Amino acid sequence: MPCTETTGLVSAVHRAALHDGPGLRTTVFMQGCPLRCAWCHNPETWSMWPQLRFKGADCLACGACVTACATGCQSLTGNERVVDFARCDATGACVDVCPSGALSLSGNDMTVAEVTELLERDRVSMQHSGGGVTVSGGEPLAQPAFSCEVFTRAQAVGIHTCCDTSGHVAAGAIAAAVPVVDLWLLDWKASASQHQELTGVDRRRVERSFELLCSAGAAVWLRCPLVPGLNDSAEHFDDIAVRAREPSVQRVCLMPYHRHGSAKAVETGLSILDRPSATAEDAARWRDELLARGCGKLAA
Amino acid sequence: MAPTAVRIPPATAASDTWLGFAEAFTAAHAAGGSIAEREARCVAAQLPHLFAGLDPDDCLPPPAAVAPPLGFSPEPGGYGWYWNQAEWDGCDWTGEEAARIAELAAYWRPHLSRGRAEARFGAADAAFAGRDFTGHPGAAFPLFRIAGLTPDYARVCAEGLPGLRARVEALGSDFGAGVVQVLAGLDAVLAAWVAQAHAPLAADLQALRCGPPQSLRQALQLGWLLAVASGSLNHGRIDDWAGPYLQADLAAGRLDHDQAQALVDAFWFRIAQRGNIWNGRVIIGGIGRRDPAAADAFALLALEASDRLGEILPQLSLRLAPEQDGALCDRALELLAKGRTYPILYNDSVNVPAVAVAMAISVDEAVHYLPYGCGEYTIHHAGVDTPNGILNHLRIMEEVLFGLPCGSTTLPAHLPAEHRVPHFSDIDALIAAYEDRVCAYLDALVVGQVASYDGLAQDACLLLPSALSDDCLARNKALLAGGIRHRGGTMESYGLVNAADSLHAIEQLVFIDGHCDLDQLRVALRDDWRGAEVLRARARLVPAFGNDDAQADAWYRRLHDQVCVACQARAASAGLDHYLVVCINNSANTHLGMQTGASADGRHARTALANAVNPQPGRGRAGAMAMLRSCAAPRCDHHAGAVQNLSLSASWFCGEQPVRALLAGYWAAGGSQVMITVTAPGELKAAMERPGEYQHLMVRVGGFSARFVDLDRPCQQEICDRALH
Repeated sequence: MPCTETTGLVSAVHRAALHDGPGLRTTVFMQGCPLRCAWCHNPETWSMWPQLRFKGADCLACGACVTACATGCQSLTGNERVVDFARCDATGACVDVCPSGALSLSGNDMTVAEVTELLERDRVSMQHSGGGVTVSGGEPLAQPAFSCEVFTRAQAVGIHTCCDTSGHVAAGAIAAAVPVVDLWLLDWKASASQHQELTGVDRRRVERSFELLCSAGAAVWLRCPLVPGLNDSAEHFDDIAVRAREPSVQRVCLMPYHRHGSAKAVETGLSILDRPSATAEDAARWRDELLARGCGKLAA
Repeated sequence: MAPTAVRIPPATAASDTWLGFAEAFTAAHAAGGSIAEREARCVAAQLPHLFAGLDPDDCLPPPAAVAPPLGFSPEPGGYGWYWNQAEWDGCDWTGEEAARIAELAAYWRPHLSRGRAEARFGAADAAFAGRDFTGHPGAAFPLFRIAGLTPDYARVCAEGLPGLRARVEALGSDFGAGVVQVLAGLDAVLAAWVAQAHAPLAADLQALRCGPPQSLRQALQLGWLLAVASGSLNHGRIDDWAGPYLQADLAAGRLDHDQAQALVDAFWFRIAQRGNIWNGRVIIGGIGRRDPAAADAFALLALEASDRLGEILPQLSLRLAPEQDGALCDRALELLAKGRTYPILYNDSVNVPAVAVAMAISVDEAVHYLPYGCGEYTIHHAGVDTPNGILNHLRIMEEVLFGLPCGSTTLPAHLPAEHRVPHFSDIDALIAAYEDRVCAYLDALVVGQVASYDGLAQDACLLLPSALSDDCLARNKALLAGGIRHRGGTMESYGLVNAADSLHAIEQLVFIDGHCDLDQLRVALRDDWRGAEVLRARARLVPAFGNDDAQADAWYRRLHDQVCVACQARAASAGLDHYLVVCINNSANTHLGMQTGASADGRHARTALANAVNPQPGRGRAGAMAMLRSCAAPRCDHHAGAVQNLSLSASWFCGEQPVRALLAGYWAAGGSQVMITVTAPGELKAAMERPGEYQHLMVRVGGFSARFVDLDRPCQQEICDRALH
């Protein structure tokens, strides 16, 4: 598939990211995701359109947004601020007039050139550490042309590329990206029996993506978010251990649940899982479960 | 994670002997003779009082004593001929003693170097807002001291005290005779210690009386002796001058590694005991060391000593050079990861050529650049580059906006209702007025700079520092009378980041977006943003320096270039070889901020200014990489030192140590220097209490990293409660 699109809807760019692949990386978080994971860390990226965020603590109750908003989603009664996210059309009119930054949009247009210019700034640190660019999200391959072009241009100048994907994407998107992605960070979120319930989609596309990557000989790190009492089932661990035997899988990364996403959900009018974070004991137990199943590729 | 709290007891204060000393010192001064003769007599009388009591079984000469309240010094204790009234007032004296002190004070009043310097200010004095920059508002203040003199330890170690004495005697001048008398006084001090000390200290000190040091122990003894005796608070390129002795001792079996380490530890303890937190620099690493292998071996001991001591002194500084032993960098990162905050890192690839250009010297000389004090550069034992003035750029902005005259001490909040403010038709008019005012202050400050040198030179030679600095003996001239090879000066610059951010905000809010006019902004600033919270919020949304934002950083570079070039331009007519800005880091940013009103960058009145070349607290939100990119962008070849603070979480030092890549990118982008603090549990709690000051603090949460203050309360608490391993 030719990569002609040069503009993407980007939620955020984090420079000097330490944990999105090897080395020091610039991570591009794309806006839009087809999944609705119960534990999501980045619920502000769910919408395929720009998503309004509201940080109540920063609001000065000046009322400028109420005047600017054409849909009536902003209201101020006395000092009580209410945002009716369901009515928001995400034009950003309220953001433009907000003096304090309490209102913002997740999802702004960026060109590939803008992204590559950012990458160039940090190229020395990336290369010194074996790092590079990671396109994450949201779902990077929900905007395949943009992501592919970022990968292509990065590779062309010797910058290592990572695609952090849910795998719930079109086969063509995977195939198009394989030549320009050096490392795949593929989420392995739940057993087949729980996947629909916990992520909102069944696992067939994810499995197909996994198989496509393995058959293409791509380098894969399986990233496994684990929530105590939710998806840490024997069936899931059995499945991870089996998948890890594939030669393509270089590493299995366990990602213990943390409730960071729940605060961001509140800022976007969404509701997600909010329970105590996983403990060090949980993480140790999960490692033991996988080691007992012969999984020798666990990340440190 | 926090440095081990080793409390260093100060050396004994000899207040009971101060009065007797002061009378002897005064008699020596009153006895007349040439400038050199008088100084020599006084210094010889003073030398025994510079040291605390001898421990006969120690391995080094005694620690530095608390400086007497009357004396002669380049900097410690006071400036030149000094009288420290506060020290006198701090003791209980009998009525008879108080009368004797009053008599002494009356004698000294016309002889004090500070008064001599002030008398030379002339019309420039009107620009200074007084003398105490901590006590009231003001844009420019003079400073009285001769700072950063660092002896040529290598040469004096090579020739020994007798060799130095022979070289000075050959001068046949009054100046030389004065130095000889000081050296005789030093020898008398050594002789007294030899009589009191036990072996091996007694034998070592006796050997130093007779010739050059023959061991690392003797070299360090001589180095300490001369640092205290000459009033030097910094110790130069110690790995360069002490390394060869270490190597020879180890090769000859005179010392094993542990014994050598113990000696370096003892030297470090001496520096810590001296307690001057704004100095105490020891430099290791870098280009231009005579025996890099020997120096590297010493540098590793130095790093180990700092690790063991875990104190705020000495200020260990590592110059990084391309071909240097990687073990130094490895060990440095280990210390930093522990929260030691040392070593401070310098990038020779940038600094050596930059210093050569800034000081108009050869690269061969620039390799001996020496960061001293709070980060100013000088050339080791070949330059005088004292910062003798302070400039508060944000106060200048305040003066210009509100139409206050040069030297004003009035805050906008206290202006009378009828006060007339100037009109600025556009941002360029405002910038022009600001830059004119900067120049006006520089005109005054350079007068103060020269006055500080000449005011001392008219009454003193600085005999011992002269004897230990290039090219005083070769020229047969005292240090400040044409002897020093590079007679430069420096000017401490504060609030430049705030000034740049403020101009950026004014341009955006007033002249582009029209959110307010200048009068409305002035009202907001005068009232410390009360009733103008929305405007303040808008000001804080304007991109600030330190986020790798092209526009914000360009504003800083513009102001930085202007003041640096304007400062340089004033050297020649003032008779200085160079006159350079230093953007250093000490508590002045806080003191000055406490005396400055609210600023257009959203800063509240009476709060700290940004620290050196760092974003204002709370305004650096784009992470470490972006901050360092901003810090690396300004030119380095027209100033004499600019410093950056970087707080990192411990995760940067884990695994494959991503901090290495972070620094590699910074150095490659032109970064010159960085001071790294690794956060500790206390800082996380402080960040919860005062999140505005900790916007930069990054933490590892789970499968991701986050800015600590962006986490909700329970998340922060959970991270705070985790055990640190």
